[in-house]
Formats: sequence, C-alpha cells, structure tokens
Amino acid sequence: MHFASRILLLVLLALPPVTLAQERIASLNLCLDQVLLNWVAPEKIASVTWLSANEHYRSAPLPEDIHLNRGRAEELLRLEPDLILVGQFGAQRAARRLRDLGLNVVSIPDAYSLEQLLEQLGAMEDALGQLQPLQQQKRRLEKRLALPVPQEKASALILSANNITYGSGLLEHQLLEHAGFANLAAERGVQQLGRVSLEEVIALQPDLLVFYGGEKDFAIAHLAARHPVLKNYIDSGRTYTLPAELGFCPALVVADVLQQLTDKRKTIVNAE
Amino acid sequence: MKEKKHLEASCLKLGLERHGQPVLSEISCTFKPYELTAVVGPNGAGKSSLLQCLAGALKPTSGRIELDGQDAEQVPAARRARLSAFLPQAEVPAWSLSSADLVALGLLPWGRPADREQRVSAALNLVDAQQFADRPVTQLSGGELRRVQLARLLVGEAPLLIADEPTAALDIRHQLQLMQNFRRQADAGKTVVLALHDLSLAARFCDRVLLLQGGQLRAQGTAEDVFTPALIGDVYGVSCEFRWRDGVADFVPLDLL
Amino acid sequence: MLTQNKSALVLFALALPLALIAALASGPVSIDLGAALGDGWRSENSDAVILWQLRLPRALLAILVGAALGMGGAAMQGMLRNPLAEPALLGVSSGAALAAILMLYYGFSLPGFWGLAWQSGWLLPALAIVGAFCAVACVWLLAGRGASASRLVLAGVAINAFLSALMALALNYAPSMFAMQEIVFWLLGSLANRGWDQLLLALPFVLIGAVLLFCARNYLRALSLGEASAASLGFRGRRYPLLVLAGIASAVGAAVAVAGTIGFVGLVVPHLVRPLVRQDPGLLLWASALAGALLLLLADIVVINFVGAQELRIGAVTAFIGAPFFFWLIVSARRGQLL
Repeated sequence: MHFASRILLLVLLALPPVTLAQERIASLNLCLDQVLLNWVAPEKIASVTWLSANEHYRSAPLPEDIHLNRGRAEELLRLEPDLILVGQFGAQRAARRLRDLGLNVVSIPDAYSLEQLLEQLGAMEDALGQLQPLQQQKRRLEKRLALPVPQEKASALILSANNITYGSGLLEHQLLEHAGFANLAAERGVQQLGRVSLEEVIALQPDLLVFYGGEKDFAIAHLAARHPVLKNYIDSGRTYTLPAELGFCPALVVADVLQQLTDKRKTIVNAE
Repeated sequence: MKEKKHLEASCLKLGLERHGQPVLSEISCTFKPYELTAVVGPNGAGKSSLLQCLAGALKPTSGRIELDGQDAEQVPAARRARLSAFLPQAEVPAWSLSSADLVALGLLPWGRPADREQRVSAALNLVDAQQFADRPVTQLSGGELRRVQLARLLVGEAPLLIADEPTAALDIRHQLQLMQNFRRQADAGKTVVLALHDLSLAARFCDRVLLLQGGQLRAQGTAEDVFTPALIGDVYGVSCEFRWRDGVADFVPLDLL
Repeated sequence: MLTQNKSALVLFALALPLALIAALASGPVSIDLGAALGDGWRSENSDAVILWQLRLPRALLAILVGAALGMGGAAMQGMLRNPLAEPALLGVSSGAALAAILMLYYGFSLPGFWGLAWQSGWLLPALAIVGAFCAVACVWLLAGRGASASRLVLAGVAINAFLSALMALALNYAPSMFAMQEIVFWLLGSLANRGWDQLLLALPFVLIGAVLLFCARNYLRALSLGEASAASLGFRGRRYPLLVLAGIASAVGAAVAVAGTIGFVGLVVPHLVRPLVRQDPGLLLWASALAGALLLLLADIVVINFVGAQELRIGAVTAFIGAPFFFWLIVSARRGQLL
C-alpha cells in the first residue's frame, strides 16, 4: 500500500503538469489572439480571429496554416480545440453554443483599468497555466504598482489622433499618475475622452507630451501631432508615444509602458 | 506698330470640311479696299463659313486666305485681330454687360487706348444707340442688341470689316442707316464683307456680289451682272424680277419654281 | 450705381483686415493679442507661439484658399460662359481628392524615397495638385480638339462621375482605421491644425494660378461675346482655354490639397460680386478672390468659435453664410434687377 502510493506518486511526477495539458488553443477575441501569438508556442495555437491577420494589430508573426476564424461556432468545432478563449463581449453566441456542445470555453474579462488588468492577467493564468512570459508580465506589473508613486509630479498631456485627449477614469490616465505625472486633461476636468486643441497644448505647457502610436502613415487625423509648433517638444525629447497595443490589448505592454514613463519622468525632473 | 489703313484679302481655292462633308470647295475671290462686297446665297450655301474663315474663327481645311499677299495662318492672332473685325450671325452675350462695356470689347486687340470712352460713344452714335449706353445688353430688344454689336464691330480700326447678316432683326430705318454706315466705311478705304439675305439692299449698296450655292462660288461681279432672273431662279428656285430705278434695285420674288 | 459698387468692393477690402484681427483674437485659449504681437515672431512665450504659429497661418490659409476658390470659380464661369459652373465641374477637386486618397491609403507600399517624402507631408498635397491636372487633362482629351464649352462640361461631368466612382472603390479596399473619417475630411474640407508648412506649400501654386489667369483675363472678357467673336478678337486656338484650365487646376488643386474640397465658395462668390464689377469677367477674377477670401475667413471664425463635440465642417459654414446672400440675389433678380 505504502509502496504502491509511492509508485503512483512517481508516475504522476513523471507525467507533464496537468495545467499544460491544453495542446490546441483557440481564441475568439483580438486581444487574446495577441496574447497567444506572443506568449504561447505557435504549434499550440489552433485558431485566432481574422482581425489578427491585419498588420495593424499583429505584433508577433502569424504561424503558417493557422485557421483565421470569423467567430462562428462551426469553424471551431471542426478544429476540436482543447481550450477556447473568449472575451467579455463579442462572439458570445458562438461561445455559448460551443459550451453547450461540451467544449472547454473560458471567458477572460476585459480590462479598462490597472485593477481590471491584474484580474485579467490572473484569469489568463488560470486558463493557460504556468506560462512563463505571462507570469513574468504579471509579476513585473505587481512589482511596479507596489512601488510608491513619486511625490514630485511632472505634468503630462495626451494628444491622440483627431485632437483626442484622455482624462480621468481611463487606463492611460492611471498609467500617467502611477509614473508620477499629473495628467493635465484630468486636472481640467476631462472625464474619459475629451478634445484638446493645439492652442491648449501650447498654453498648458505640459512637461511631457504623450502621443498615441500605431499609425505610421500620414493621416489628417494625425495632423496635429505633425504641426511644426510641437517641434520644440520633439527636439528636446519631451515626448512619449504610447504603443498602439495599449488601446486594444494593454496586458501585453502595460508593464513596459509604466517602466518607460517612469524613466521619462526621471529624466525630465533631473533636467530641471 | 504701324496700323494698316487698307487691306486686300483673298481666298485661294478655299475648302472647308465638317464631319467629312464639304462645306466650302475651291472658293477663290478677292476683297479690295474701298469695296463693299455682299455674300449672298440660299440657306446652307456656306456664307457664314466663308466669313468665319475670312475672320480667322475657322481654319480652312484646304487652300488659304491671304491678307495683303501674306498667308493669314502665318499672321499672329493678335495682329490678325487688328486687321479684321468680325460680327458673327448670332452673338449671344454671356453676361449682362452694359452696352458701352460690350462695345469696348471691340477695342481689346488695341489694348487700352486713352480715348477709349470717346471711341465707344462715337461708335454708339454711329448706330443710333447712344441712348442705351448704360443699359445692360440683356435688357435690349433684338434689334437694339444688334446695333450695339455693330458698334462693337465698328469701334476698332481694323481695315477689314466682316459682318454676318448685320441687317437681320433691324427695322427699315436702322437697316438703311446700317448700310449707309458700311458704305461710308468702304468709301473711307475699308474692305467690307457682308453676308446678306436682302438682295435689294445688296444690289443698292454693294460694289460687288458673291453668289454661293452648296459651298461653291456660282458667280461674282457687280449686282447687275449677278442678279439675273435666270441665275437667281437657278440658285434660289424662285422666279423673280429686278426693277432698277436711279441705281436703286428693287427685287421682287414672284413664285416658287 | 457705379459708386455704390465701388464702395461695396472697398468695404470688402476693409472688412478683410478686420476679419483677420477677429480670427486672430478667437480661439479656445484667450491670449493677450497686443503683447503677443509685440513679442514677435521668434518669441518662446506661449501667447506669441499661439498667435504666430497657430492662429496666423490658419487665418492666412483661410484667406489663400478662399481667394483660390473664388478666383477659380470666376475663371470657370467665364470660360464656360455659364453662371452655374464651379471649379469642381471639370474634375479639379475630385482629381485632387482621388490622388490624395490613393496616396493616403496605398502610399505606404511605395519604396523608401517616397516613404521619406511621405513622412514630411508635402508629397500628399503635391500629388493632389498633380491629380487635379490629370483630371483636367482627361477632360480636355475627352472633349477633343477645339472643344466647345458645352462639350467640356459634358466631358467634365463624365470624368467627375468616374472619379467619384473610383474614390468609392478606393475606399472600399482601404485598409486604414481612419479611412472613412479621412474621406469626410477630404470631401467637406477643414482648416484645423494647419500650419505655415501647408500655407507655404499652397502659396506658390495659387500664385502661379493667379498669374496664369491674369494672362487669360482678356480672353475671358472676349469670351463674353462667344467663341467665334473671341477668335476674331485674337484669342484663337487651344492656348487660351489651356491657360485658364491650368490656372484653375493650379490654384484650386493646391487649395484642395491643403484644405480638402470646400464647396459653395467657387459657385456663389462670383455670382455675388459680378454686379459689383459691371459683369466684367476679367475684374471678376480679383473681386471673387477678395470676396472668397473674406467669406472663408468669416466661415473659419464661426468654426473656431463654435462650441461642440466635433469641429464644424467649414464647407457647411460657407453655405450658411453665403446662402442668405444668394437668396437675396434671387429675390432682387425677381424684381428685375441685376442677374
């Protein structure tokens, strides 16, 4: 009996961990696509959404002969994945149907704040198991958030496409605050999204001007960011460009962004 | 630039095609200073086309026009505009310019002469139109507009005057006045070419007559030579009679042939 | 009548600097105008930067674009002898917009050199001007030798329809996120976020257009009598219509390139001022340029001062300001005046 249990234990230890049992993973959500593509071995990915074929969203190479789904249940059924990830919104009907058919469907909550982001990373960890890049990302973020927020604040203002700025209640605002910046848009009472003209940018004189990245091509929407009046900011390095991923899948980049913003603040404060 | 006072214009084997159809063929004639020439012929005979070629508004497909022996195509457009003035058959002003401003357009080839206003009012006087100098041309009657347009033709110094049916739409007083005007211009040394439908006026005022039919020159010469009942009957298809009284011809069409 | 007309034009000329001051004084940030002016062009002071780098170029661009559109409209109406003509009629605007759209959405696949030019932003307007020229050239070729005005209009309508279809097609396959919105910018026009670079880019082309149209002013005058009479007055051949078309393409193409297609100005401004210049198509060019500049500057002041979630489209505002004048013109024409 004692011996038998020992043998069983040995056998169990020799088997791969249970949590990595999922060999074929599919995703019905753009952000979860990116998480899989970036952090999971390509041969384990059964399917991602068709949106991920768009270069605008893709940050990691797309494995060959991967199935690009359009969020329909029958497509995924045929692939027989071990795990299907869905977001909080979108493709809900397909998810329900797949779940009814007995497939392993896991819903990952969306994240619009740092708190939700930690929850989201936790949910991913539960679903995907001991995934090293994922756990590393989560640990980095927790460590960053545990650090005290610098008292001596520098000012910052976000100038995104179409003169959009980000005010209180948004992840971008939280990131600025955590890195030791005072978000001038929030101070002016902007909640969620607001508009800021170039004149206001000049009048407010933020220490750091933050652009939202992604679009490398010329577009009238980005005319403000290209205006010569901002040349001073660009020449003196007092600008920062948020990665486009922050907009649709912050989990991938949030730790890096926080780190970079903190560094940026340090150089600005030291320069003064 | 030295302005020409006299100009001799010639058509040498002039031909014109439009959409593959001959409009004018092999027309040769000469228009001389001091001469008033009438171009007559039935509708579609090519009178307007001949006049437009002469004025440089149409380019002949064969043959050529000579101005004082020089090929007219070689004459720069701006200079040619100072040599000949042209009034088309139907000239519809696009904008309601005042009559005086429309007449002043006739001076465009000469730039902006200092005595512009005097010239314009003199030209308007010639056609009895000074009273509507300030009136917009869109508010004039057909005959009044025609007179203003004639003033535009006469306001410049071109030695060759070409007018396409200038008497159309005019009342008898202004027809008479107009022909007297052209007679005086010719007597002063200008070369005047008019397309006319009124054979009586042509016979009475013109030194020479060109008779066109189907794009061809049927006859040319003095009115007495050309206006014979046989020829007119052949060209127009009407029987007619000419009564000459003190150099004034009276043309009476009698019946269809 | 005459003195009244002259004084109206003088009034326009006087109103322009006043409107310029009003434009410089309006904006989301209130600045000390006098101090900012005194600080001068190179000052780092934020008030001065706002005045010299943001408000002044935008206001001057409104004047330039308005003048180009007014002048282009006057030239087009004069050339086609038609008071309903406008610069867009011969495909100038849609040609420029199509070139811009192609560049915007498909330009990134071009090799390195173009990519660089792309980044600096001048390639887009320059290509829009080329597009305007191409559209006019197509109209010209389609209309054929010695085309009459009515044939030009027909060819213009055909080319315009074709270009619009191409624009829709290009849009359908556009990969950009901003595709739809950019189209709205191009089709309704905007002066927001424009700076000295756009102004300096458009200026030479508009000036070239003005010089070409200046050379063609007597042709436009002669053309009031019709094509045959114009030919007999020394304006023969294709040279003069080409001159006018090139002038319009250059001026209006440049305006479209930097500000999008702003409607109404080119159509109605020449109408409004034609009685003020005694219907003279030559003088009308400059009077329309003046009135067009004033109208667009006033419209932009309204845009700047309008408080709303989105910036108002300047094309809509020009119609707002200009249409009442047009109503008045129609009513007085009914009484047998003007027109």
